[in-house]
Amino acid sequence: MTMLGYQNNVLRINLKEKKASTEPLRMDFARKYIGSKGLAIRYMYEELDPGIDALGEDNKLFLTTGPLTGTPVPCSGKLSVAAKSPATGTMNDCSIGGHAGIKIKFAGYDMIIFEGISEEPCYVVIEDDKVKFLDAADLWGRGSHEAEAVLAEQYGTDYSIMSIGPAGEKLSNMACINSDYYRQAGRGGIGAVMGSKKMKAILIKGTKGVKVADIEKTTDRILEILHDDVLQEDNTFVYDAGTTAFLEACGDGGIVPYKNFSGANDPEWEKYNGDVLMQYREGKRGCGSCGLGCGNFLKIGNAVCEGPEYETIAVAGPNAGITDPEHIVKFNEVCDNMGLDTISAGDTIVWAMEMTEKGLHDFGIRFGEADKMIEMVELMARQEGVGADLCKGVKYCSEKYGGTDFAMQVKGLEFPQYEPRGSWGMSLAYAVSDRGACHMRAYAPNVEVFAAAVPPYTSEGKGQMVYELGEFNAVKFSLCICDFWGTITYDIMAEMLTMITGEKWTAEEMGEVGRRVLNIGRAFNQREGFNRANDTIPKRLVREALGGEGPAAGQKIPQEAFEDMLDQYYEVMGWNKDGTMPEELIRSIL
Amino acid sequence: MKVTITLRGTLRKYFGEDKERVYDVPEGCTCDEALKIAGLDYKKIKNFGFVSINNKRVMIYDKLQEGDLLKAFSKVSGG
Amino acid sequence: MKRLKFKKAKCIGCQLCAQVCSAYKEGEYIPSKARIAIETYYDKGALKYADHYCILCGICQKNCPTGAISIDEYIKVDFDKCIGCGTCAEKCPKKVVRIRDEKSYICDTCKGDPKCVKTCPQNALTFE
Repeated sequence: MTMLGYQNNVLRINLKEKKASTEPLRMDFARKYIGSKGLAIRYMYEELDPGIDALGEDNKLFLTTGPLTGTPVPCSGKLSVAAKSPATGTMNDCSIGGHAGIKIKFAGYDMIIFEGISEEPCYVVIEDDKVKFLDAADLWGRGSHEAEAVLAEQYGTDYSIMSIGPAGEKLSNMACINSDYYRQAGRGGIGAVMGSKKMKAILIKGTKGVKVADIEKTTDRILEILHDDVLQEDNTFVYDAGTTAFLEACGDGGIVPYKNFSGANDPEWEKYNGDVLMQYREGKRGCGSCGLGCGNFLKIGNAVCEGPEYETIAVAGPNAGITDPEHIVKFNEVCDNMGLDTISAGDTIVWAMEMTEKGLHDFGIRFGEADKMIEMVELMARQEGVGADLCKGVKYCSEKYGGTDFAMQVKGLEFPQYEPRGSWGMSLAYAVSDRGACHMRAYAPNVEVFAAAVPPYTSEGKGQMVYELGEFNAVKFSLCICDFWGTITYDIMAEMLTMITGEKWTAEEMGEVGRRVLNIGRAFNQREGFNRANDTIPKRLVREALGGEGPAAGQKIPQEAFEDMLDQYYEVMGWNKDGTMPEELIRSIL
Repeated sequence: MKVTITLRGTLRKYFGEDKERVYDVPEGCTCDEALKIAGLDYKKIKNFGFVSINNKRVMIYDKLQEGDLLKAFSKVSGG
Repeated sequence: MKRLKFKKAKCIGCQLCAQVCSAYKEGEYIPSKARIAIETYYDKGALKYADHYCILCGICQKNCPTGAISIDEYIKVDFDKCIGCGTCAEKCPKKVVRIRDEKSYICDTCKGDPKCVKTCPQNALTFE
């Protein structure tokens, strides 16, 4: 049983045995979960036994494309990178941009699964049917950018390279995987899983094609969609400013965290806003099959990055009490090279700043200390000095040193840069996300803050709201479509999927897939022992009135309001009051 | 009373080259009413996001005061 | 004669041009067979561009030993005459000629209506 759009082919690589084999894609899974995120989670549910060590030989790393990958469907170049998370113990799927996704597809695979642990540091080169295992002794210990540069020099620039930095080698809970230098599978310690396999880098290129039903008609229609829908002004802010545009909207919305989420909104935000950063822009770069081109390649002084994205600006700027744009770019660059997730690394440092200021524990760093913040990134990546603990994240550190009330994390994943007291739905989204505090699961501010007439400071209706956002993103990411195609609808998704696969898909089915993806993530986590007791938010949000001068100043989220939102959400999902899923629901989605 | 209106993101096009415009609006005027005077009906603009007064998000039906800065944002998506 | 023009500053490196080219010319999405290959990449801290596209310079025609290549409004390869010797590919300054199964595949600007230009989302490619 095969389907157009897919390669109907999975590459399985055993790093211990240094063996590669191929097998047909499970089309029974693909019909229910389509591709990318959903398909990866379904495979994880099937192949990762409950209770395995996320950094042990039984965990696997799944690189998953979808039926739209490699086609000119706009914004379809993202790749799901998934494994059980060492940071949270939950399933974890990350979405990485760049060109690795389309190259995997053109090499002839829907999915690559890495299993086992290599005896020595290695890297893997995949070119069409050929898979080579090479010694990475000379690369081990090097920064991710440095390793990529060495490999690009040796192999040429037509390979897409995914690599880890020292943080991934040393198994940090916040290690990321880089690709094309500046794109990351960032969260949940996905880079540590790659590091645990002693795999420094993956190089991919391919010469194969993707076949679809009626290619001329399909391509004509895709070009119409590209120009008439994607490249309309609702979406093109992405090219003009990228996510730096969020700084002002989130600022006026009152949800830009300040000094470890003690307040919101920095009065000096104009020193590092998008208008300032864009003055240093040297070029634009998008992912494979993009169209919009969000990436801003910029240089300030001796700091270089593609970005910085809103998350990094907020955590290295206002959340750290720092206003220097060059520092923000440097923080971004050093985190990328060291292979640390900017969000989790940043949050952990700003938590340490607050601990020091409050006299609870001296981590040797205070708010506003920009140079020390950069040094701290290096210490964390190399696990030296206080970095040896901080690299484990705020959950671990606060359990060891205190300060749990203001350790901003859920399930061991640090907060993205949206203050939930200014967007109550976001507290629910963080709490019920399948991998801990993530903003990409259900982006609540979009409908309750950036909206003309929706009240953000109430629990009412937020269960349904977060569900609908979650369902939509779950299927969108299972089609490997980027979040920046803001005008995409279920109708468009179904139309594209029908054209590409040659089989009829409906808008209604898109919603059903989304719901199924939310459920399979939950089912995985339930098997690992997660339930309502883990769907929590930090005490700071409940007990402390939000500081600062923003519109949400003075807000807190009463515990009963939070519990009310949880109840609503579980009810919408058909889950039990204790957050578990009924057995028949689990059976129905497999 | 006089209020200043500025448009952000893709709403900018409604003011052409102007960064901001000052309007004379009636006492007790709401954000919605002031925007209508400026030629924008938020219900008819698909991509309309939200409004802030003096850099603080408010509800569209909240009232303005003399000298206020009213900002209207287009929708933002993605993170 | 109209030609493809490429403006680096506008290119985001999405490669939609090559995917679409191969769709109409080869019947699948297969950039390795496309008659255009524009990519961007980072090298030594700079953003670089690899821009392989036909500039209608005519060097392939001048060097073809069998006279298989003609240029009027666009390039035509007479497959009855083409022996797939690869001289055109070797001489092409833009490295955009593909040799496959002993035949030469060269951009014909979609007979004067190039799909890559219609595709380019940022107008980095034009036909003028």
